[in-house]
Amino acid sequence: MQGVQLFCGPEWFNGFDAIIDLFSLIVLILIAVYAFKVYRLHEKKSLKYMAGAMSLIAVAFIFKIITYGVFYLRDNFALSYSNLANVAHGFTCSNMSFILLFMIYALITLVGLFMLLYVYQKEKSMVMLFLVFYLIVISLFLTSSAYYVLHLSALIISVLITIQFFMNYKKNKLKSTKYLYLSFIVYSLSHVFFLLSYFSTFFYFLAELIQLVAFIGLLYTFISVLNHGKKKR
Amino acid sequence: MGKKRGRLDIVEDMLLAIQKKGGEIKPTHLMYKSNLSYKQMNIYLEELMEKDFVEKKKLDERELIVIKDRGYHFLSKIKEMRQFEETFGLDD
Repeated sequence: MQGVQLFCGPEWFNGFDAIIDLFSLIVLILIAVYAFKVYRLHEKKSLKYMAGAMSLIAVAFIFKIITYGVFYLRDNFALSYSNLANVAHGFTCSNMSFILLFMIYALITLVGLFMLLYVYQKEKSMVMLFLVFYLIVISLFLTSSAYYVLHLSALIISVLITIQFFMNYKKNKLKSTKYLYLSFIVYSLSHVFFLLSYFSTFFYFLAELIQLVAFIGLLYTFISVLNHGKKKR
Repeated sequence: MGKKRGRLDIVEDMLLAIQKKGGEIKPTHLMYKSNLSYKQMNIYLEELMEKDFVEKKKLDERELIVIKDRGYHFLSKIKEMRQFEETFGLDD
């Protein structure tokens, strides 16, 4: 592996993305903790997987914050990096610790998203789970374009999750399920803009803003679920 | 044939039955409304009283099961949980 290509937003935006990621991870932790609490009450396995998936994506955000933090402070960490040809905001970093940090972030994100999708699969097989995990690992590690692999795979998996949530909405017609699938459409869209970051810093900035909207939607969904319990005795 | 009820489903059915009767119910009615045998109902009733969800009251020689604030609160928590499961499509 030669190094990891990374794209970021305009310089003034450095650090603000960490705040958006922190907000996203708080929303995920809230949902994960709640799902785990419900699981403890009536031990439904799908709730355990849901809590696990949300926690993994939340942990991935911690690694993203650290990875980009190190990237923004690269001079302090004396990282060896080189600008990508013709792309002022893209860098290739070949420092092993940095590569490892990015890989952990990418791997946990994809495994978490896949686990969320897996919750809804009728046929659950450990062989299939292992195979997907293996494919995620090699597709990330055997390429110098791990950034693209991460966001393209995340886009595909989140579109599949959105379809699942949309099917649920068609079945139950609940407002909260509608908010949920709309939030996931927006979340999927954020990965499209992360992919477009190659062309301009503006797209990275836009991707982060869209991600913020998605997680505000997810928080709104969660709050509307909690409020439902409080409605009339 | 319907799915077998779990412990939480039974507790929910019992609390709902009391709530629908205006907060108090005769033990025999509770037994029918929550589809339990006399023995099963007493086991669950013991648990509900231990958790301070319901209490037994005597009114003109009649025994009544009365739901308490903690019972109402638990019922709203169950409602919230069901909504969460339905929203995320985990209700099977």
